[in-house]
Amino acid sequence: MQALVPAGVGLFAGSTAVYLAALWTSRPGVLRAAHVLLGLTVLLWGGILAASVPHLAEGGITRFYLGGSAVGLSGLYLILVRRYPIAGLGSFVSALATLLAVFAMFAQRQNVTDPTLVDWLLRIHIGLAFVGVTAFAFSTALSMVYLMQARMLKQKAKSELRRRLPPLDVLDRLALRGIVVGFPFYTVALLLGSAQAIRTDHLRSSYVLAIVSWVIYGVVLQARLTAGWRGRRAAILTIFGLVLALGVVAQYGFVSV
Amino acid sequence: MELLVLGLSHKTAPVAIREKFAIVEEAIPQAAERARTVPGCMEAFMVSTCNRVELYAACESASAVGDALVSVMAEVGGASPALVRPHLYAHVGQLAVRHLFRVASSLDSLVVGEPQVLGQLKAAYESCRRGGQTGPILNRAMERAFAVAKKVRSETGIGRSSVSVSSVAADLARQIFGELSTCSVLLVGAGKMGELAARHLKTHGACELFVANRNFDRARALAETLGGHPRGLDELEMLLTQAEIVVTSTGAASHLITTAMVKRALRARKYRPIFFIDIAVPRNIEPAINGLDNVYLYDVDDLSVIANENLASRKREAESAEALVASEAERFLRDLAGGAVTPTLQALRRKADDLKAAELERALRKLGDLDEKQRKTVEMLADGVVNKLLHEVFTGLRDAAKTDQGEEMADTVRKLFGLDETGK
Repeated sequence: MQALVPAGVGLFAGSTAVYLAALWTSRPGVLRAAHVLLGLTVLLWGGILAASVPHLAEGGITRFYLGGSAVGLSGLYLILVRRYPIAGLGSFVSALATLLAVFAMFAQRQNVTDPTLVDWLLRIHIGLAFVGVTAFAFSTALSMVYLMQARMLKQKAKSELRRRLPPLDVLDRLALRGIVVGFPFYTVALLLGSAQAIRTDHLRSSYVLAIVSWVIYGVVLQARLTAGWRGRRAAILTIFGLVLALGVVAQYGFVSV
Repeated sequence: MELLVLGLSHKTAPVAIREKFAIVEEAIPQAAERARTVPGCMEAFMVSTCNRVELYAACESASAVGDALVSVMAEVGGASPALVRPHLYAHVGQLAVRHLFRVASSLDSLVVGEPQVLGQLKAAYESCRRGGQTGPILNRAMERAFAVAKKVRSETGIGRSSVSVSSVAADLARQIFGELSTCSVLLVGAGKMGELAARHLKTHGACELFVANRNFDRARALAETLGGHPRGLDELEMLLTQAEIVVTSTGAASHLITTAMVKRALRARKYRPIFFIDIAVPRNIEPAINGLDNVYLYDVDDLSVIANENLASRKREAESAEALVASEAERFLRDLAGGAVTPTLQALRRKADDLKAAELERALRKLGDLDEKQRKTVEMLADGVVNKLLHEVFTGLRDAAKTDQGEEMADTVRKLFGLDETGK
């Protein structure tokens, strides 16, 4: 099943290409084909991840959760696109999923050899962190499109692409919901990570990155919910927060510690 | 049977002529019925919109009924045929079908891609169908025209973008806020363009409308017309904290809405986005506010540029729509010709079966007592001879139906096999 990982990455990349074609041509048939391809990709990855569960103790836990994030992100989009006018988001979501899947593919090749990774506490910590990251990744895709759409509206750019992207308000509301959902998971994950660090007396540099990204999401959430902070600045910080969170993942998956 | 269309439209007749020919929907069946009384005209259907009046007819020969139908058109407009003729266009056969499909698909409209013409065509057709003025040919043509129009709309972007300033403003508002049902609109001033934009936003679902004007009585009158709330201009800054969409259309010589005002309003509204549509000339809103986060400002030039872009995009889409319409018209005529040979095929089959049955009965009587196997063999022999003979004729007729020789071939077959006049 693991041999299918590159094919799975290719399918995510293919979905991105078809979504871009759908965005470019605005043909409903192309969009349907993109949804079907992404759905098939999610199913393939589901199979790959299910097959790798018995071997998690041998390493590759980061790869497992990265793949899970890509699947979660794509699945979330495929569910929400039925309810919200966010079809134009497809290429951004599948591009992010491709990125996560590429990370997963390389993490597989460089299995983490740290024996503490098989510890149950750490597994829960990483699992929760990835649920959070998945939600943040979804918010990031929305924020990226928000920035594009807001820029086009400000600059009064040609209307074709602008018309095909989702409305600003929908993007903003869903991005906030992603952070609202992801933040508690990420918070608990961080607490468990801290407990693990104290227990093993092993403080990784990635914890600092994780705390900074948590603070960023905390600030975005607090400012949005209390001061009504929204729009461009919130979108930029949401994207920055995910970059840091992925930095943490990269440290787990690719850097020997 | 030939399909013919006679008509005048914005392309051939000035409004002074067109207005004479405008018929109310209720009078359409009578006008079509008048056309059907013309000898040789089997079916008729009329449509009347502000940009066109057209008479569609299914007739034995277009050239034979043409002049009489021109007189009918002239009667409709209360004018002489000589006056009408220079403004009339006529299409026959494939060109008539193509014209009908183009009209239904809004390719022949003044504003290409506008959706109203399809509704008008459907309503006119429905009243003629109910009145019995249309028959199998026109019914098939109209149903196909509606299907082609739907296909053109779904497969090309012909009706996707807005081409008026008001509808562009509503589209932009939707791109910012999604649904307009959660948006309040503030109309500042009582200018005509502003009123149109506000009315458009209201009809597209905006939940509340405030009308602010220096003259409160005018504000009240306009608010009553639009179903909104009148306000004085002194309340402007407070209203900016409430409205999502602000349309300005006053004759003020200086900026009514400044950057400082909008900054204060934004803080008060917790940075909820606000969309300004400045239709006034000179402009009522300081252009610098477009630099503020969550503020979007479009003036009349910005809206016109988008409307023109959209119009150009519709014209590009119209090219692919034209190709689609042409191929659909060709396909429809092929199908229609296929339908024309069907009665002949059925009559030939019936005649062959009757002959076979009669000859079989005679032969079996002469042969006397046959067992079941022998009887079946004789029947199979008769079936085989008839089917093999008819196979070539059927294939030839069906092939001819795919070309323009279907009717001619069917006629020859009817004569050769002694089928009755209609092939029945």
